[in-house]
Amino acid sequence: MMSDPLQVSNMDEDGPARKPRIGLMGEFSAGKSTLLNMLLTGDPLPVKVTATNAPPVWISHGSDAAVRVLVDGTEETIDPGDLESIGLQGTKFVRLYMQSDALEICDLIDMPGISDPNMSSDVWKQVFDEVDCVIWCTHATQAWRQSEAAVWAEIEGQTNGNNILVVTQFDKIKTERDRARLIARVKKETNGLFEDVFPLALMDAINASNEETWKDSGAAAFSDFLVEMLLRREEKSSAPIDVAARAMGSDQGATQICKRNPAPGEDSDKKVVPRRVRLHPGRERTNRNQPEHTAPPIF
Amino acid sequence: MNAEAQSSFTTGLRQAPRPCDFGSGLEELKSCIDEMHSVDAALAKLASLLQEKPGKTIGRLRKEIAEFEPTITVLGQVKAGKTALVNALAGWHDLLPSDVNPWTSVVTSLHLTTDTERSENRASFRFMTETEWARLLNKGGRIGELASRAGAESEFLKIAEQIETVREKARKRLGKKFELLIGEEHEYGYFDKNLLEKYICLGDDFGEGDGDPETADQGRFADILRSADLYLKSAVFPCNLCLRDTPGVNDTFMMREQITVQAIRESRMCLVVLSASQALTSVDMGLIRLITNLKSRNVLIFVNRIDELAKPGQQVPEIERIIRDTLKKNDVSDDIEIVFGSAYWASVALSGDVNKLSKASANSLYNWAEFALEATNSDAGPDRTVWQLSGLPALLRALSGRIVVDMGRPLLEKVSNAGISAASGAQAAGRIRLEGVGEATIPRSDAQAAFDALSKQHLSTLRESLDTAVTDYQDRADRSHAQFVERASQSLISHLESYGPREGWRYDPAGLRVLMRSSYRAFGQRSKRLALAGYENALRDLAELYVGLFGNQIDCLQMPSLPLPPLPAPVSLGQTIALDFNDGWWMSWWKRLRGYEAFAKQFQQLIHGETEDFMTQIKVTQTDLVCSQIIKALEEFFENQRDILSEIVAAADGGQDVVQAARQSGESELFGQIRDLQALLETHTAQEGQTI
Repeated sequence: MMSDPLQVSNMDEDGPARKPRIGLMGEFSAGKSTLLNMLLTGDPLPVKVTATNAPPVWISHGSDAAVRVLVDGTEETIDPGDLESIGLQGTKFVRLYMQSDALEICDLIDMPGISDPNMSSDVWKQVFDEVDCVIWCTHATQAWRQSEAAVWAEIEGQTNGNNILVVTQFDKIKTERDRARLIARVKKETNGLFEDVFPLALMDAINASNEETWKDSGAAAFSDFLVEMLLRREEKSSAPIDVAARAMGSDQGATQICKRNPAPGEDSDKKVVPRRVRLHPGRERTNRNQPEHTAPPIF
Repeated sequence: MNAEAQSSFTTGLRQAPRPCDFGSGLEELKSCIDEMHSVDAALAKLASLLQEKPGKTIGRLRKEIAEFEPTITVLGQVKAGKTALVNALAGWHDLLPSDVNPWTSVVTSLHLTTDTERSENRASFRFMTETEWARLLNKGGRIGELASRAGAESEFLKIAEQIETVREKARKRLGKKFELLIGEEHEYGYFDKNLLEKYICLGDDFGEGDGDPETADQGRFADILRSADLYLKSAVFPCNLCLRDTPGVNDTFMMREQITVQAIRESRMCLVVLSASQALTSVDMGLIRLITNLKSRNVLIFVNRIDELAKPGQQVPEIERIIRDTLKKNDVSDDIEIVFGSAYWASVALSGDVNKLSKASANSLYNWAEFALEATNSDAGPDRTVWQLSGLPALLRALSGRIVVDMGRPLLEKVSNAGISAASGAQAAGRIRLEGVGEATIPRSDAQAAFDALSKQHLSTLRESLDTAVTDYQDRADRSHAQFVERASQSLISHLESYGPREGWRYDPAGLRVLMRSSYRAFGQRSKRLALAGYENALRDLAELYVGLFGNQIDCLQMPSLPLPPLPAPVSLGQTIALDFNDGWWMSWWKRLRGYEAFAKQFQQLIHGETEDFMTQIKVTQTDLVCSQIIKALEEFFENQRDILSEIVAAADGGQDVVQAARQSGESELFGQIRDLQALLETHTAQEGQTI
C-alpha cells in the first residue's frame, strides 16, 4: 500500500510506451469476471466487483490500491476491500492496482455488461475512450445476438482493431458436431469483425491441473494468441519490446514500461514464474525491424 | 397415463415413454373441461328436447365448446430453449427439431388434439403472401426500440436489406417456382422429421458449400414460409391445445424477430422463456413490455436452463429476486408467475434415459433437488423425480390455471348464459300456449318485422351515440397531440439554445402516452356508459314487444343479461416513438436549416410524421375495435333473441310437441340443472370482475 495512486494514474497520459488497455466486454453474465479471474491467475477479484451495478474497473499493475474516479474527474483513495459497496452514483470508474503477471503487459478494463435493464450504456460508454482493444465475451448457448452485434457495430471503429471474440461456457455445448457448427456460425456472422474467435470453457480453464486440461479448455490457444497479438502491437507502435518480453519471464527485463514516469510499485527485477503457456519457440515474426528474440513463457 | 412408447411415424419421430404422472399439474384444467363436457351434455339434451334445427343457437354454442383450443405462444430470445420446451410440454422429447444454432424460422403451431377417432396427424404449411412480406417491414412497436438496443433506430433498414437478401436467395434457389409459391398452402396427411426440417428449419448457411448431405435438404422452404400448422393426436391434455413455437428475438437475423413480433399480436397467452444464466436482459424486458401492453395477466415466465447453473438451489431464489425487482422498476405488474426449470431435464426424463445426464448437469440436479424436492414423494422412480425437478409440472399447473381463468371460465359462463336464455325462451313459449294469449296488441304475423325494426333501430342508435363519443375523443386526442408537439419543440429549441447542435437531443414520448392513455380511459368509460344504456333500452323495448305480442302472460320470460364486452387494452400505446436526434442525420438536418425558430416548424412536421402511425392506431384502429365489440355483442344478442322469438311465435301458433316437451322436462329437471350450473359458474367467475 505504499504507492501513491495519483502518481500512478499520471501514467494514463498517452505516452509512447504505455501498456495497451484491453476492455473486457459482452452481455452481462457472459463470463467476463470469470475470464478476468483467469487472466489474473492467483489474484482473483472479489466476485461482487464485477456483478451488475458496479462501475467499470480499470486494473493496472502495482501495489494493491484502489482509487475511485468520480464523474467530475476527482479521485479518492478507497480501501480495495470496499469495492463492493461502490455505487454507480457519481463514479466514473474505479482504478485498481494489483500484482499479476498479465498486468505486466497490459491493463485490463472490466466493463459492465451490456443489455442490463438496470444499467444505462452511458456507464461504460464514458470510459470506452480509454480502451485500445476489446476481448468480447459471448455466452456459448446464446452466442452472438443482435444486442451484441449492434453494440459492436457502434464501437468497433474506436478500437485499434486488435479485438478477440471469446465464446465462453463452451463446455455447455455438448457434442463435437454442435461445437463445430456453433463456431462455424459465429465465425461467419462475425467475419472481419474480430482478429479471431476462441471457444473457452472458463471453469475448466480455471480448474485446470495440467497442460492437457488447460489446452482442452481452449485457454492455451486463446492466451497464446492474446500474447502474440500484444507483442505484435508493441512492435508496430515501436514501443520497447521488452515490456512484453519481461512480462513473460525474460531475464532482460530492465527496461522501464513507461519511460517518462515509471510506475511506482513496479518491481522491475521481478522474475515472472512461467506458467502453463508458451509461445512457439523461434516462431518467425517477419516484416519487422525489431531485434529477434526468443519468445519466453508467459503468464 | 400412457407409459408405452408409441411409434406413429415412419421416420424417427418417437413418442417417449412418459413418466406416469406426466399429466400432473393439469388437474385444474381437467376439472374445467369436465364442467364444459357436462354443460355440453346439458345443451345436447336441451337441443333434442327443443328439436332444434342444426346451426341454430344451441348448435352454435356446442360448436364453440367443441372448438375450444387454448393457444399458448412461446416466446423468448434466440436459443433460450423455446423449441425444447414446446417439445417437453407436448410430452415428446424430440418432436420439433432444435439445434445449437437458431433454427426455428417460422411460427409453428402444434395442435394437440384429443379427438382420437376423426383426427389424423397432418400438417399444413402456408407461404408468405406479398402483403405479408410487406407487413414484415411495418414500423413501430419493435423490440429493439423498447429494449433501447444499440442501433435500434436503423434496424428498419437492416431488416429491409435482410428481407431482400432472403427473397433473392429463395428466388435463385427455387427459380420459377418462387413466384408460384407466394401465398400457397401445402398440405400433408402426415408429418415426420424430414418434412419438418424441410419446411421449418432454416438450416446451416456457413457461406462455404454445405458438404453435409444430411443437411442438404434442409431449409428448402423455411425462409419463405409464413406459418406451419401441425396436428398431432395426444392423450396428454384434457382438451385440444395449441402450442406455438416462435423464432427467437434478438437474433442477428432480424427478420426472424419481426416474424415473432407479428405473432405476439395474434396471441392471447404468452409464455416468455428466459435463460437462467442471463435472466431478464433489456431485450427480454422489451419483449415483456410489448406483450404486457396487450394484457398483463397473459404473460407467464419460464426461466429455462437451470441445469446450466452450478448451484440452482442457491442461485434460483437470487435470480427470482432480481427478475421481480427489474419488473417492478419497469412498471410491469408483479403478479406475473415465474417458474424455474429445465427443458433439458424434462427431455431426459421423457427419453427415459436419466443416465444420459452429464456429470455437471447431474450435480446441478442434486443441488436443485435439495432445494426443490422436499414436498415431493421421495420413492418415485428416477424418471418421475427428474420430471418433477424439471419444473414442467409446475409450469403445466401455472398454464392450466391461466387457461382456466382467461379462456375456460369465460367460455363456460357465456355458453351457460346463452343456454339458459334459450331454455327460458322455450319455457316461456310453453307457458304462453298453456295460459292463453292475453291482450296482445300486435298481431303475431308482424312479430318478425317488428323485431327487425326494433333491432335495427337500437343498433343504429347505439352506433350513432358511439360515433359521437369517438369524435369527441378524437378531438381531445388531437388537442393533446398538438400540445405535446408544442412542448417537444420548445424543449428542442431550448436544448439548442443551451447546448447547440452538437449534443444529442432526446425527448421522452412518455408524456404523449400518458395523455393518450387518460383520454382513452375517459373514452372507455363513456363508451361503457353508452353501451350499458343502449343495452338497457334494447332489453326494455324487447320486453315491450313481447308484451305487445303475447299480452301480460309474458312475465315468465326471463330476459337474458347482456354482458358488456371488456375494453380492449390499448396495445398501440406501447408502440415506439423515437424522438431523439443522435445520429448523423441530425447534423445534416442542422446544416440545412438556419435559426432555431425556423427549425421548429420543420421539426413539428417531423414529429407529426413520427407519431402519425401511433395516433392513427390509438384514434382510429382502437376505437373501431371498441365500437365493433360493443355493437357485435348487441347484434349477437338480437340474433339469439330472433331465434327465441320465432320459437315462441311458432309455439303460440300451435306447435304442440316442442312446447309440450320443453315444458314437461324443461321446468323440472333441465332448467334446474342449468341454473345450478350457472350458480356454480357464478361462484367461480365472481372474482373475474375485470372489464373496463
